[in-house]
Amino acid sequence: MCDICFTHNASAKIWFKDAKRYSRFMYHRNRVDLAKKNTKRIKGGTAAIEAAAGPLIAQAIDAYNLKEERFPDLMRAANRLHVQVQGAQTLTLQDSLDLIDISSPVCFIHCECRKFKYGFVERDRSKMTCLGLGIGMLRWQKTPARYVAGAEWVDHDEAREWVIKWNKKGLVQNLMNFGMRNGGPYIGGLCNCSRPDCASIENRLRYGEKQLIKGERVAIHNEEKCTGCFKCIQRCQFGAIAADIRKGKVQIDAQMCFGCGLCESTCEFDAIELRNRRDFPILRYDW
Amino acid sequence: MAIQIKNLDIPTIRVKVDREKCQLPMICDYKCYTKCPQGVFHVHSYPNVSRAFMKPNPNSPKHYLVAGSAAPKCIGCMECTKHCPEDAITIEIKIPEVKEGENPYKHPFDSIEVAMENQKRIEELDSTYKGLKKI
Ligand code: SF4
Ligand code: SF4
Ligand code: SF4
Ligand code: SF4
Ligand code: SF4
Repeated sequence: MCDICFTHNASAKIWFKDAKRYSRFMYHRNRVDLAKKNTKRIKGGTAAIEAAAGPLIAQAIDAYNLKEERFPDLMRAANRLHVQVQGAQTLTLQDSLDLIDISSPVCFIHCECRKFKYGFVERDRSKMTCLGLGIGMLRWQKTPARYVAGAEWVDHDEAREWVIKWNKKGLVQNLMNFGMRNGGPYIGGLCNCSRPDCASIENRLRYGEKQLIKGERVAIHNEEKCTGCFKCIQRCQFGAIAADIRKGKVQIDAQMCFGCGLCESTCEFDAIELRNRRDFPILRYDW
Repeated sequence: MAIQIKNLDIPTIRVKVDREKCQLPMICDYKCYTKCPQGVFHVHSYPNVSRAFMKPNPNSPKHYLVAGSAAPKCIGCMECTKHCPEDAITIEIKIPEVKEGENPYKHPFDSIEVAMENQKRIEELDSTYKGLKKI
């Protein structure tokens, strides 16, 4: 075993720092399931999950607009399934840099959400904001019919520099995992998203679809240090920060915070502290 | 506007201020009001009005605190109980039941080993909090 396995082993306190989550073994097992799904031989089981989750979400969103009374049940059912197919979690900058350290290889890919929503595919590296991680990307490169812009391989240092640049610009880092079957999630991507483009953020905030879950950290605001410069408000993609006119400061609603850390890195007065979500008796149940 | 599907697995919380103990908030400089990151506490500067009859209560102090309508915002950070000099605040939490062998935090990606590791740490942490009551 190498260093990484010792420092990021299975007893890691945070699930995504477990090296197993990036391994060929996990990817392979998930891929075998995908193959079974294509032939549709299995009744129930994993094939059913994947086949049912997508239509359920579409139904739920339709119900939100047309048949309100059916919406909660449909969305609850969709949530239960969807998280087993594909999931995402918000990360801080430091955690996303750690993610890049653990996984290999790393490549630039086009943004799937922008492709689905607007038919817009970035073919130019300077416009791409999605990082593909791990051996799954070899497959991405091989099927240009589906993954139109292919994979542009980069080394770890360059990927790290880009993530820092995106974070400065105000993009949120989300990890993407694929497949929860056979012993937990396999991590395959690091997305750098903004609210209007990102389907995960938009569906979570608008419809309560829990494909994207909240991060392991949460922003706690210190009123005494805050000067009321209101710079942090512009950075939050989740609408968790509001101006408190009585006090001339801001208030961060920790129940709406996803723990991305964008506000913390922009505050010049150290008024915002990122803390572990599990330290708070209410937030530790709220993902 | 963000919508919320009511999740019965999330604990319910109540913030209680003991009116007998917290008589004059101006002496402690409204510690709970300034320390709470969630804006749970409100200061009223007129005599207590009974909810049922809307009549003033002559026995109540001039300034007092309510943690009523805004209490669902409380996250249980325990800053208020740590700083209150009169020990007037109690945070009551009702935690949903967890079955054996289940991830207690309902975190979809945690393995059960990680969840158990975290639970040990969390139980130690909770025992250090003053004024936390689990019901
Ligand atoms: S999650 Fe974000 S970066 Fe990833 S595909 Fe969607 S919008 Fe693009
Ligand atoms: S950036 Fe910092 S000082 Fe400025 S309003 Fe936000 S928390 Fe307060
Ligand atoms: S409050 Fe700060 S940490 Fe929380 S979601 Fe908004 S920008 Fe991110
Ligand atoms: S526990 Fe924290 S959030 Fe809750 S009332 Fe006290 S200071 Fe506010
Ligand atoms: S800190 Fe304690 S004594 Fe002071 S106002 Fe709050 S409840 Fe009352």
